[in-house]
Amino acid sequence: MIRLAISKGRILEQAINTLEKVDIICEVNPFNTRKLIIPTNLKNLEIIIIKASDVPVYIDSGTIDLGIVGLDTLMEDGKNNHFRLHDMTISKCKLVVAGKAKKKYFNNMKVATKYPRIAKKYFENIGFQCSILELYGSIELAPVMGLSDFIVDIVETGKTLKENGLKEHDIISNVSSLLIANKVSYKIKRKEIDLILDKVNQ
Amino acid sequence: MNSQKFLIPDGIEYYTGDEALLFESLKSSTIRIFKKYNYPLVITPIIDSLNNLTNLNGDNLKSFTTRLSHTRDLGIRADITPQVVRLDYQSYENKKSNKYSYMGDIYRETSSPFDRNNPFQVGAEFFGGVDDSVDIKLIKMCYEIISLSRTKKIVIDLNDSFFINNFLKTLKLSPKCKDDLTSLINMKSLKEIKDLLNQRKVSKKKINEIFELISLDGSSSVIKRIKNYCKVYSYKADKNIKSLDNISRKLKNLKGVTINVDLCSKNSMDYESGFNYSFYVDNLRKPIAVGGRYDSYKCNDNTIRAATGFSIDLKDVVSIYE
Repeated sequence: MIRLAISKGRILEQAINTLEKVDIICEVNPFNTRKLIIPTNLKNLEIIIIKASDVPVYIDSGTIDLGIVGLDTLMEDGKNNHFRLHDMTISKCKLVVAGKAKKKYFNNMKVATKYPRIAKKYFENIGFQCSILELYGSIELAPVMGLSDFIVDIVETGKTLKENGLKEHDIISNVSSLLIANKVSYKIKRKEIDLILDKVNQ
Repeated sequence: MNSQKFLIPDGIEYYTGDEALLFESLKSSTIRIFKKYNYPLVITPIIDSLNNLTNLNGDNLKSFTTRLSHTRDLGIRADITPQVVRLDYQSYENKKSNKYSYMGDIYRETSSPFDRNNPFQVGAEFFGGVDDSVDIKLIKMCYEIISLSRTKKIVIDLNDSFFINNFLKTLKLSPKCKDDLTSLINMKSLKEIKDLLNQRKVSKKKINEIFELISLDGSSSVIKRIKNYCKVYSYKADKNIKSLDNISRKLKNLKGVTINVDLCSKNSMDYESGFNYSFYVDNLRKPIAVGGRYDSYKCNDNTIRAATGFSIDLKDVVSIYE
C-alpha cells in the first residue's frame, strides 16, 4: 500500500484536480467528508489529508510514503529524509520580504513571519542581524501597526500587500507544490511509486 | 526515600524481558558471523581521547562526537571506526592487510524524535589492499547480520562517490554553495538544483550533466548508461564502472535482495570517498546499514592506507525482527 499525504488548504483542491486529470480519483469526495484517509480508484493508493506542516513529519518518519506539499513548508521544516521527485506546478506563489516602501534593511530590525527559520537564514546570508517575531496569521498587519520593520511571507498576487501600503523588497524563492517521497519508501516500493510518478508526469 | 519519576532521556532505550534476550542472542549470532568470515573481534572503550574518536576526514565525526571533559580532551564515541583505524595504525606492518570486527554502544546527539541517541554499533573494517572481493565479502557479512531479523526484502543501493565528487570539483563553488548543492542532489530536487546553478551562472551543459547523473538510479542495468554518461562527459572511470558491475553481479543471487545503483545517494559518514553502499529494509525510516571505502591515514612513506567497512545499529535489527 502506498500512502500519499496532501496538505490541507490551498494545495488540496488543486492537487485533487491534478490527480483526477491523470485518472487518480478519490472514492470519497475529500471536501464532503470528515474522513482523513481516503481510498482511491488505484487499489494500492490511499490519500491522507493532513495539515501542511505535518506532511514533512510523516514523510520523515516513513509512516507515509509520498506527500504533496509546498516548497515553503519544506524549506521551513528543514528535514531532508526525502526525495523531491516532481514539481506539481500547482499553488504557485513567491516567498518574499515585504515592508513599507522606503524602509531599508538595518541591523537589529524586527521581522514578523510564519517562517522563522527561512527568514533568519535569509537575513544571515545577506549579512543582517534581525529579531524574528513568529506570528500565525495576517502577517501584513505587523509592519502597518509598527510591530515589525519587515515581514517574510508568501505572496500570490501581491494585492494584500498593495492594499495595506506595503511593497515587495526581495524574492527569497519561487514556490510551488512538490511531490516528495520518503527515501526508504522510494527504494523499497520503487515499482509502485514509479507507476504513480509516471501518471503524474503525463 | 524521595519520590522519583525515574524518567528515561529522549532517544535512549532500555531492553527488558524477551527483547533483552533477543538482543543478547543477536549479539552472539553476529559474533559467530564475524568469526565465520574471519574478522577478529576487538573491544574498544566508549570513552576515549577526542583525537582517537575523530581521526578521519570529514566533519560528521566532529559534530557527532560529544566532548566529556575540557581539561583532558575526552569524548564519548559517535562511531567505533576511528578507534579501529587507530588499532590498525598501531599494528601497521609493511603494507600488510588487517581485518577487525567490533560492537558496542555509541552516542549521537540528534534532534530528530525518530532517531536513537544510543545506537549499538556493529561493524567490520578491512585495511590494506582493498579490492572488489573484500567489499563483496563485507556486504555479504552485513547481509547475514541484517537477515538475522528474518526480514524478507532487502534493497542494496550501490554507489561510487567518484562521479558526484568529480562533477562538484569542476564547478569550483564556495564550500557553502557546495554544501547546499550536495543537499539538493541528495534529495534529487531538479528544480531547485537548476535554480541554484542558474544563479551561479553555471552552463546549461553542466546542468544537463547533473540531471543525467541524478537519473542514473535504478536496477543494475543502469551501469550500461553510466558508461555512456562517462563517454559523453569525458570521464575516465573504467575501473569504477567495472567494480560496480562486478560487485552487483556477485550479489544479485542473495536471497530476497534487490540490487540498485544510485550514483547520487549518500547516506554514510562523509569520510567515505569511493565505492559505497546502503541497505534498505521495510519498516525502517532510514538505511539499516551503510558502508564503503575511505582513506584511513597517511603512512610513514606518505602513502594513504586504504580501508573499507560497514556498520549497522543492532537495535534496528531488534526493531524489525519478525
